[in-house]
Amino acid sequence: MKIANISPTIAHKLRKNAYLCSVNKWIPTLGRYMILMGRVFAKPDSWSMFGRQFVFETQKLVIDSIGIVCLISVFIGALCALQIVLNMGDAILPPYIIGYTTRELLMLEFSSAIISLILAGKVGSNIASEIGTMRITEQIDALDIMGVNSANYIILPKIAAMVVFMPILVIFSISSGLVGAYLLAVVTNDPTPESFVTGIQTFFEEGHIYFSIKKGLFFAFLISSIASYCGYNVRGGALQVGKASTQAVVATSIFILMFDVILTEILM
Amino acid sequence: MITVTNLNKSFGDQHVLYDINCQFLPGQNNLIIGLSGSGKTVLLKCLIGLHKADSGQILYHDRDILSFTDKEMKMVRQEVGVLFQGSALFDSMPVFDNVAFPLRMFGGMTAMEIEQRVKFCLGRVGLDDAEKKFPSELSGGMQKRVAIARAISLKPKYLFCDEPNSGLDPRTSIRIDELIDDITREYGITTVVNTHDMNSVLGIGDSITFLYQGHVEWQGNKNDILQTQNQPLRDFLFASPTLRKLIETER
Repeated sequence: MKIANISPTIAHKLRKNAYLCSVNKWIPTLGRYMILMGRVFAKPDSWSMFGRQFVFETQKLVIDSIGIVCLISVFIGALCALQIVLNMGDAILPPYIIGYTTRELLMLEFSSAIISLILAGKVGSNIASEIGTMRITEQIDALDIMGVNSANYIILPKIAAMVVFMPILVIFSISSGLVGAYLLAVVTNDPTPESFVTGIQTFFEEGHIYFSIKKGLFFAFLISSIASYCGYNVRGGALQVGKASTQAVVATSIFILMFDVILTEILM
Repeated sequence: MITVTNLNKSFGDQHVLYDINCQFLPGQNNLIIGLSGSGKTVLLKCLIGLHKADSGQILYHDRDILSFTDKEMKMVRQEVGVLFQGSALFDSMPVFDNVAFPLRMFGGMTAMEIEQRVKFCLGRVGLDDAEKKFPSELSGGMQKRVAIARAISLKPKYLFCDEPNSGLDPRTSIRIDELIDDITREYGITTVVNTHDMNSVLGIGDSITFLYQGHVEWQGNKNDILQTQNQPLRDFLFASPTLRKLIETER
């Protein structure tokens, strides 16, 4: 049936139903997410086991991500500087402005939001597929049967590791980005390395680093908790684990960008 | 001892278990048998609290677990060992840590005591030299034995095994049955085994409950099962032409 053939009343009802369906889907999902978080943020059954898992997750989720974060940040930094040089054209601006703008871009946006998007792909899919596989191979059932709070045992160390060490990743990202931009200056001599260094020292505001770190902390929580939720609620087999992994990356990316807007409005 | 009274369970419109009444005795291998889809796994999951039954009673001695709060259920679960169909070993941990897991969580033991207990449990299932291996490096039979070692590490009063022989060759399957039988008698625990393996039924079936279309169709033991006149059970038992021929020859 063509849309044009539908009467305005029916069209209105269909739109209302579609809206209600969407609300009906999202509200229970949010409820289930909150319930899961309630179980996650409980006192661990054993602090020594929590410590063990925390170290293990830190290694897997954070330390193993340092390389990729630094590498991507180097290219992002260089690209930012290059775009500024190319787009400034013949504008009568002091050359140090390139270093200054690159630094601000990296600190305010790229090193928290873009790196979080990359981590949503790397860490988020890893978490969702790992927990999903544990679900379908009955490992989570085994934990529940032993009387262990499985959500707390599996998810809390992941969230803690990501949130505690995200500031370090953000700082590494800012530093690597500046190194990338500096290397571009050394190679192209436009701007000169000296003016670039002058630029990154100009009008420096310490608060911008804290702003970036605060956003990073929030995004770290989003990445680990949403991916854990997607993995924990897998039902079925390998196909559903794959779907959960994709779902985790997509949902996390959307929420990161949404909260980026909200947090920038609130914190800046 | 576990006593099940008038247990019902449904998923939406689909009724899976109807008024189940049965008893599982300590020091015995209590087998639940039946065709695929007859409700064996659902009954087992109700018994261990993974599914909440709609109505009825499940008494662990005199404690009705259906009326328990989460905290009370948590205490009961520390008395329960479960051998899952796929072993459910933790992939990220070596064998030693898998067996030590419940001890570290709830055992309240020192590192030395944990090590001794793990070595004892692994020795009991004949896997003394596998403690550093990861589950992915073990065969299916070895994984089941590690899962048994983990299940008995906290000295459970109840042991539940969900199809312990699935995916195993007949020889390994018999070894697993013997191990379950030995452990049950040695520690006097209440063992409930969910299976459709005929060797297990005739080998270790001290008490057998036959489920058919969601209700208890027949109860007995390995000595009287072959003489049964119950048609659904006969259809189940003699589905194998080889077994049918063998029994006719014996007669």
